Amino acid sequence: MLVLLIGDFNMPHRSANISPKFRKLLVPNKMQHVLCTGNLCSRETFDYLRTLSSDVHVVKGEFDDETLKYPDTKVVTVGQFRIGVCHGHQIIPWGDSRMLELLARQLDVDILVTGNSYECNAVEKSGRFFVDPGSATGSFSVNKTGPVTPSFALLDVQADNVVTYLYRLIDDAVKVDRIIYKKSKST
Amino acid sequence: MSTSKVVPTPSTTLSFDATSLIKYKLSDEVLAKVAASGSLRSSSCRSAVWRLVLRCLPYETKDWEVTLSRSRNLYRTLKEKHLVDPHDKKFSQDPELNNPLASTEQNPWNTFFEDNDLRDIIGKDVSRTFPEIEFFQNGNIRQMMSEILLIYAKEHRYVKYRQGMHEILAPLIFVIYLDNEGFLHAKENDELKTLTVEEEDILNCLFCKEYLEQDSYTLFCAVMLEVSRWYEDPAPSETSKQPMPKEPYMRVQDSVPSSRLMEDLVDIGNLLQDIDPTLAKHLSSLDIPPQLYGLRWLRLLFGREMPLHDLLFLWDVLLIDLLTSDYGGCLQYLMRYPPIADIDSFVKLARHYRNPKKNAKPDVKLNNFSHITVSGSSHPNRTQRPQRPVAPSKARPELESPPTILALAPVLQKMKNTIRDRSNTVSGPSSPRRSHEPQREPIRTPQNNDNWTREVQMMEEQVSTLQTRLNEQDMMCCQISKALEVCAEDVRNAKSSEQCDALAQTILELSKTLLSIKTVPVNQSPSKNGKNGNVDEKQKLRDPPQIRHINEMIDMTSKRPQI
Repeated sequence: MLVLLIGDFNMPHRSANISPKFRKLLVPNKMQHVLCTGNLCSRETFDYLRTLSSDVHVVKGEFDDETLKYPDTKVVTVGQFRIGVCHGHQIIPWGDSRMLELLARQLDVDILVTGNSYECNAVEKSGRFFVDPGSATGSFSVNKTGPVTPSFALLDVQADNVVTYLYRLIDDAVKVDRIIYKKSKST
Repeated sequence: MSTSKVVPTPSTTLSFDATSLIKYKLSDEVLAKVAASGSLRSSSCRSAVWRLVLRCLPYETKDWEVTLSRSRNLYRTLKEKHLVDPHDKKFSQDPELNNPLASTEQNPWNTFFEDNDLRDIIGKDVSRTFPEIEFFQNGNIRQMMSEILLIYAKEHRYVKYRQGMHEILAPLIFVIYLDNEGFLHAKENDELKTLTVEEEDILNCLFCKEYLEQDSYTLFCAVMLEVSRWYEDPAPSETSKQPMPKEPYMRVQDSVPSSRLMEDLVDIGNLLQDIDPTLAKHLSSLDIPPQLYGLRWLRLLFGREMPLHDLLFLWDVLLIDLLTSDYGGCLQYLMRYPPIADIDSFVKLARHYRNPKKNAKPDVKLNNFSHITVSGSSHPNRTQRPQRPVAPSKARPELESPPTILALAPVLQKMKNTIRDRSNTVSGPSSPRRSHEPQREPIRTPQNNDNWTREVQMMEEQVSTLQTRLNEQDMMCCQISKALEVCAEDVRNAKSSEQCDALAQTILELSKTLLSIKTVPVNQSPSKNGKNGNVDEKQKLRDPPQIRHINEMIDMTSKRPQI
């Protein structure tokens, strides 16, 4: 079961498009679910996600249209894993690990997906797994100096473990990293 | 049951069990006889017989273990080859190369995604297989079926997977599973005492529970070897050329047959013309080509036309015929009788058509009740037939006014004949009456007579329907009583106290009552008893319900809508 994690497009406000290298990778009929951390900023971006999979979940980013009524947080169950999604701008201080852990406990999820940091990373902390897919377009961020690397993440959910693939576009070439998270018995 | 002494060929009346597999010298002819006699019905080695006749196993029992291990290993390697798991350690663990989205050639995910569509289609079909049987609701069995079908589709790329294959596979798995269970049961009950250690080892290897999947695949492949030709697409060269421009509104039967399947279906139509011109004419007047009804007969090997236990018996005979040439010919003869009441006579008749010299024409005349299904419910196509006028009051027993009795006579007579032997056993007081009817009736009331023939038809149908159900019940009764006897034995062995004995007694009584459903003697009129002398044993068994039929039939008749 493949789950695509993607977000912080900021299209068309800060970026014109997703890199063609990424578009080539993202093809229909591969992912069963798409979880978007928000900041789509346009209807067209949402339509694009819908072409990838019929099951798209979106949470609200700070630049998304208020009228669209995206929820702040969302929990999706895939296989034996509960995956929580939140954009992250609501969590203050931004990107604080303890606050993220608090949210993960509140939502009672195994995996928490947040955006807003514009940096792709995945870490395991106290039995839970925290993934940030970064910005799909590499659009600039107010809390980050220097260029932003375009990135997204893909979860391969199996019976008892999740393999996370992090796709980064560095120097116009796609780099892939893999991180394995095993669900501990206690949670 | 099993014979301890070695005899050259098994008697077809004895049940054919695991011991006989080893003890007898088997050959195609012997197995053909055994299968046709129907003694595989209650046997626990049907799967072994099927495998023998389909050449999955050699007749030499010593070679079984080698052959089995070879075919099982083959399946394992095929599984490794075709069921690609991208998480497998054998693939490159470099995330740049081995990740779900990479488009590099050596990426194992590519094949995984290619199979996904096929997997989806197979999964859908498998989940719909025999929904009425619990065995196929089991997740493990479904998984097994999906994998077998997927591997078959990938191994035989020219056939691929087509809908219908799951219906072929399902009975095969079912039979192998039952036989494995049956063998274990026999072992626990010490029914294999007559065998030497080596012989028992061979059987242990043959009926091994762990290899259900492997063995099913082997058997499935062997069956598909014959059946796959009906699944093949028309040759690609023909389709690309488009030899015949399709006319608008062209009927399917007018087109040039483009594949083996279509050719065979046309043959069926021609055969039907020879055998039953009336039916053929009727069908053609309704614009029903054999392509409409014959397709699933061929592709599913009648899997959808019969209840499962009848189907298995039919396959006993069919699979043996797979060996000999002209299998299609045999099948086409079989085609003729879609929903049939009595599978036994059906098979006999089919064998007769196949080879009139070798197999005598069965005595029982068959009727083609095309508008009811085998299970007895009304067929969806029934409305094609003219509505029968119903006269329920006249169908009631013989205490009515004289004209009614006269009119009733052919009905009863015909009904009896349907159940019994029709050709030569009719004797006694009723036969002269029948000989009068053809002259008398049309003169008196032609209209009425027409009604009566319809009435008769309807009754025949109902009798046959009930017969089918009773066949099922008979079988169930036998099974239950067997089980109960075993149970009683167990109780007795456990403790010799009086309580246990009493318990055993009650169980035995229960079994007797169950059996009595089948064997309750019927107070028959002398003429009926006289006829019974000629009737074979099977028919005798079916006699008792006859009385009940009449009553039930009347009930049914009254429920039918009147015109």
